[in-house]
Amino acid sequence: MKIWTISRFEIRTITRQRFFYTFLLLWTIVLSLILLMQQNITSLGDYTNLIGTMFTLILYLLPLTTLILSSFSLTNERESGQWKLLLSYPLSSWDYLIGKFLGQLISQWIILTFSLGFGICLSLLFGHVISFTWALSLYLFALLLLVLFLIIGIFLGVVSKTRWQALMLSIAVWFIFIMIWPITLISILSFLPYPMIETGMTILLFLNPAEFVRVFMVVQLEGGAIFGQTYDSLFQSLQSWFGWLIMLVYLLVYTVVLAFLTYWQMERNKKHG
Amino acid sequence: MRPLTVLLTFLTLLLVWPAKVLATDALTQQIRTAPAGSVIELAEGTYEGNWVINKPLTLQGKGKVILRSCSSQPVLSVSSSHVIVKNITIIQCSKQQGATAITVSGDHHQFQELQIETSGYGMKLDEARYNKLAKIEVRGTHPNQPHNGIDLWYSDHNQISQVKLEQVLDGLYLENSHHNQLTKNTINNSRYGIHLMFSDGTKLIQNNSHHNVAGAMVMETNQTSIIENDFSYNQESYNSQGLFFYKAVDTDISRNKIMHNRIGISIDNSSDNHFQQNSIKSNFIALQVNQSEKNKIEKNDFQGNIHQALAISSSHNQIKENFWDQPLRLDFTGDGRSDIPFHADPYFLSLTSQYPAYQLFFQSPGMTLLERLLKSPSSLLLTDQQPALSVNNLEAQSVVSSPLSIWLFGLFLLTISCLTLWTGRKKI
Repeated sequence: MKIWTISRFEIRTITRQRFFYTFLLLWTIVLSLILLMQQNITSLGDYTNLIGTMFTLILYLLPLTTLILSSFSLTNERESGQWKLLLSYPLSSWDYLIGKFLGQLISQWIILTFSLGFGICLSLLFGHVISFTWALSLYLFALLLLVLFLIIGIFLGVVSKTRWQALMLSIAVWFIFIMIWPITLISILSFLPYPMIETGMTILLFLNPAEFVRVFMVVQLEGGAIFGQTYDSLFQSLQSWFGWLIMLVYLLVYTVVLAFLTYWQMERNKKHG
Repeated sequence: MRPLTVLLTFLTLLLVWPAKVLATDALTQQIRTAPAGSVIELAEGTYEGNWVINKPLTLQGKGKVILRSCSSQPVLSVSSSHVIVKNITIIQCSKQQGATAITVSGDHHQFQELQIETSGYGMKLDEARYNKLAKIEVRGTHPNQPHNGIDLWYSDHNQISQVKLEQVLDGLYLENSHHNQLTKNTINNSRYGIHLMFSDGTKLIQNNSHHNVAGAMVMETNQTSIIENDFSYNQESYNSQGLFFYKAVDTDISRNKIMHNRIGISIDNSSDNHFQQNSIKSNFIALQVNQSEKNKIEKNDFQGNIHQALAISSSHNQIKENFWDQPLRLDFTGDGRSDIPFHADPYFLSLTSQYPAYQLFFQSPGMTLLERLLKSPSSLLLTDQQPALSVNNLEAQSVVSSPLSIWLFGLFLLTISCLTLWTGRKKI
C-alpha cells in the first residue's frame, strides 16, 4: 500500500507540472515528424534503413529525457526538504524506491504512448502506410529503453545531492552510452589482441543497455545479418522466443543489480543525512 | 520348388535382359549406320549406355525416353555439326567426379526440351560454336559435390534460352567464351547463377537468378550486356551478392531488378561500366564499390536498403540522378533534382574490413557521430551531386492501404494514455 501511495503521489505531482506537458509536446512533435518522414517507402516489413534511422533518433532523445526526468524527481524532493519529511515516516527505502520507479514509469509511459499514438494516427490521416509489426517494434524498442534508463536515472538521482549534479551525471551517462560508445570501445579494445576483440565486443554489449536493446530489436526484426558473419551464430539463437527469454533475464539482472546499488546508496544517504 | 524358381528367373532374365541390351545396342548401331541428316526417333523406354554422335543427325524422343549411364563417360557425346537432340531425359549417375551428361563440340547443334539429372556436369560445351540450347532443365543430384550446370569452354556465339538450373555449382559457367547470348534462363539454389570468366560480348537478357550464393559473377570481361534480369534473394552466404563485378570493363547494366540480396551490386576493380535504370531494393548493402573508377551510375532507384552505398578508393565515378530513399530532399532550382548531394562515406567499411567485430556498431548512434567527426575529404567520397526527387523507374505499384489493426493500435495508444493521464491527475 505504501508503494502505491508513493507512486500515486508521484504520478499526480508529475502530471500537474508544466515540464511534463513540455516533454509531452516535444515527444509528440518529434515522433510525429519521424513517422511522417517515412514517405514513398515500399517495403516496411522488416528491418530497413528507415527503421534504423528511427531507432537512432529515439536513441538520441529518449535515454536523455528519461534520465533527466527520473533523477530530477528524486533530487527535487531532496532540495525541497520533502525527503527529510518522508524520513520521519515509517517508510522503508524499498517502498520509497519502488514507489518512485512505478510512478515515474507510468508517467513517462504516458508521454511515450500518447506521442506514438498521436504520431501513428497523424501519419495515417496523411495517407501514409504503416505496417503493424513496424509500429509495434518501434513501441517495444522505446518501452525497453524507457525501463532500463529509468532504473539508471533513479540510481543517479539517489547518488546526486542536487539537481545540478543529477543533470551533469545524466548527461555524462547519456554521452558515454549513446554518443561516444563506439569511440570508447574502439580505443579500449585496440589494446586487446586481435582475436579477443570479438569477445570484448560481445561482453561490453551487455554493459550498455542502449546498444543491447538496439541490437536485440534489429535481430528480432531479422536484420541480424547486418552485423556480419562474426555474430551469425550468436544472433541466430537470439532470433526466436529464446531471444525474448534472454531479454527478460537481462532486464531482471539489470534491475536487481542496480536496485541493490540504489538501495545501498539510499541507506548511506539516510545515515549521513 | 527351388529349381523351378531358378529356371523361372533365368527365363525371365533371358526374355527381359537381352531385350534391353539389344535395344541399347540397336540404338548404338542405328546411330552408327544412319546416313548424315537422317532422323532417329526413339521409342518410349529407358536406354542404358553411352552414345557418340559424330555426324549431322536428329535424335528425337517419342514419349518418355530416358538415356541413362552410371559410368564416368558422358551419356551423350556430340561432335561434328548440325546435330539436333530433342525431347529426351538424360540421367548421369556416376559417382566419379567430373562425370558429364552431355558433352558438345562442333557447331550449329540444337538441343531442345531436354531434362538432365546429373551427379556431375549437366552440359559441357568445349570449343563449340553457334549452338542453340533451349528449354532444358538441369538438376544436380550430388548436392555435396555439385558441378556446373552448363559449362562453356572456348565456345562462342551460342544461344542459351529458357534453361532451368537447380542445385548445381555454377548455373551457367562461361570461360574464355565470347559473344554468347543467355536469355530467359532460371537458376536457383546453386553457387553462382551466372559466372562469366574472361568472356567478352556476352548478353544476359531477362534471366532469373534466385537463392544462390551470387546472382551473377562477372569477372575479367569486356562489353557484357546485362539487361532486364532479376537477381534477387541471393543470401546463401554472408558475402552473397546480386551482381558482382571484378575487372569488368565496358559493361551495360540496365533495367535489372536487384532485390533482397546481402549485397545488391558489388563493383571491384572495374571501370567504364554503365549502370542505369536498375531497381535496387531491400538489400542489406545496396551498392559496394571498391577501387573502381570511371563507372557511370545513373537513374537507378535505391529503395528500402539497409545500407545504401559503401565505397573505398572509388572517387572518380560519375554518379547522378539516382533515387536514394534518404529523408532529406530539396529542390531549390526547380530542375527536378535534389540540391542536397548524397554521400557514401568509406569510413565504416574500411573499419569493419579490418576489424569485422566492429560491424556491431552498424547504425549505432555513436557511430553516426564518429563518421561525421572523421569525415573523409570530399574527394574520397562516393557522391551523387544531384539525386532524383522521386523514383525514376515507376512500376505499376499496387496501392497498399494501412491495415485496420494499425488504426486500432494508434487509437488504443492514444486512449489508454489519455485515460491514465486523467486518472493520474485526479486527487487521491
